[in-house]
Amino acid sequence: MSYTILIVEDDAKIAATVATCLERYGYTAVRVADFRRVESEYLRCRPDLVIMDVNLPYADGFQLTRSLRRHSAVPILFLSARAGEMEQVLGIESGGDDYITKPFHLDVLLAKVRALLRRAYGEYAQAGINRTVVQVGELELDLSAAEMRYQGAAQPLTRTELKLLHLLMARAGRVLTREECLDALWDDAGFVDDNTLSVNVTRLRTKLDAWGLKEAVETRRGQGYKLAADRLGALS
Amino acid sequence: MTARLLLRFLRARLPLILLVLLTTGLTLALAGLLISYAGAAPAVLLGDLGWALLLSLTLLLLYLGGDLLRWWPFARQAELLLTGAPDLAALANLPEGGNLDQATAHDLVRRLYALAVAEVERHQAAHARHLAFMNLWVHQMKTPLAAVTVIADQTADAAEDGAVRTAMADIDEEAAKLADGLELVLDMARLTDFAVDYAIRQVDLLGAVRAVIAARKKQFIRAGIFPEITAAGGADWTILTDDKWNRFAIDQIIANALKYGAQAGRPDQRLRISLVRDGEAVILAIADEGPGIPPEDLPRVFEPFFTGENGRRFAGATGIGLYLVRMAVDRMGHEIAITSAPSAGTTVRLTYLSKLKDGARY
Repeated sequence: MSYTILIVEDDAKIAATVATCLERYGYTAVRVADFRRVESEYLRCRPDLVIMDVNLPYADGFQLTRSLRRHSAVPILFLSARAGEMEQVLGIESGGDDYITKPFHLDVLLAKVRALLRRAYGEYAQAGINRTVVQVGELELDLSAAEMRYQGAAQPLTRTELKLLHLLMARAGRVLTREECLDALWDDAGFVDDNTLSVNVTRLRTKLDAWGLKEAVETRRGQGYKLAADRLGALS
Repeated sequence: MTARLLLRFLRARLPLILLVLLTTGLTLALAGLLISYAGAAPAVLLGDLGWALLLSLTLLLLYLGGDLLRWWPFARQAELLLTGAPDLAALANLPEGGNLDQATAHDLVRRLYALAVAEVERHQAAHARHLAFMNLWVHQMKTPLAAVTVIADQTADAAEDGAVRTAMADIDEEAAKLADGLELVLDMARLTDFAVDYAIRQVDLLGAVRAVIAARKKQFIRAGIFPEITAAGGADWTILTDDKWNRFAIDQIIANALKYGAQAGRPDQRLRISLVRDGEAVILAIADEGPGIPPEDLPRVFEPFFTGENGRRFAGATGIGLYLVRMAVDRMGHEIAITSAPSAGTTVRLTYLSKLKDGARY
């Protein structure tokens, strides 16, 4: 069963893009069509999370949140153009759980959605959706165990290697630019530079080489890196 | 001031004094003439003349004294206002006036004041309307910008073709510039309300720096500039500041380093950020390896709308960012200093207090 997410956003393009993105990641997205009937829409589809815009045509997001709170404690994520502290306080006080200011990136939205769902329904509740094991050919990446497996053998990975391999596997067969790799590896705790990326690619290749898979991570000069799916055995 | 006022009072009444003295003199001369015709003057008559002279002078002095007393309060207040630096309301606060001229002046000033107040109120209302409109407009513009950003994200995510993803990253970069510009407009409006919009508290400076950098991750990566934070000498980097405006200041400084660093075209640049303790002060230094600022421009970088040589050489200079930074930093009581050498980069230093000086209060 996948989580249902209700999108209350009156900008049709944003709503459609967010819905498509959520569906790509295995969620069921429902968009509100009639903003006079948000509450009944909510009661009809009983979502596991609500993404709520603040400026809406009939009642604003804060009012809607207060009325939804009469029915349930569903996690509510605000989307707002207003970045002021006042608005954030209002948002949280009216019963919202988190806040994203426009303009925003889809990866940030996804991260917040995941965090809210995890907080509301537990750490492993999402195992079915965000699989903790990713597989390309015969190569398996176990995110929760932080190791990769190939034909029955396993090797541990460092945090950065894990993130890098996860990205390469998620985009197997596609060239990833260095910028895209850095963007995925760089988090708040540690800033990753160009050199660190090269070092981690080399280390990952060395580890893969133990299984004769060194060629699986290709370097495209001037472009970036690519995971050659055809070198990892039969596609599952 | 008293002597000057007295002198002015007497000078204004010089014709009257002269007139009285002249008529008295003439009367006395006429009397003298009559006496000389009549022969020897009886002592009584001479005595009466003496009394007349005394009476006339006494009347003059009494009149002048009374006049001075009525004249004095208005004149003194006017003098104080003219030599001081009063505001509009204080300037209009004149006594009624002791004579016709002063009363007229008083009425004129009151009338002028009423007109000025009405004018100011009209402008304030227009300004408030303008701000409200701008505020609304900027927020409305963020929604289409958000649509552009998520559509670019989505397209890049789904694209097999590297060129499409590069194009989407370019669109994203331009959208980020638009978002920055919109935010700057809001900050400029907010700074006029600064007095009600800030609160000095204990803030973790290192955390604030990290958060600002994290929010600009994509720009750092695109610019090919990598941050290096050094915070030697202790784990506690608590400072006294307003978190929001301090982040705003740090963010603007970093945004400048990214903007000009990216255009300088030198590969593998670093942005060195260091936190250093100096007694009760904490110094945050942000050093870039960008194009630097020419020495003749350096003293003027905090002026509004000043863009200088770098503004001509590089795109995107507004001349607003550092001006707002200076304003915010000054009002929070921090110090800011900027040093630079062309082609060797620019260093901005912010100095904070880690705790209140004895007896000092915010």
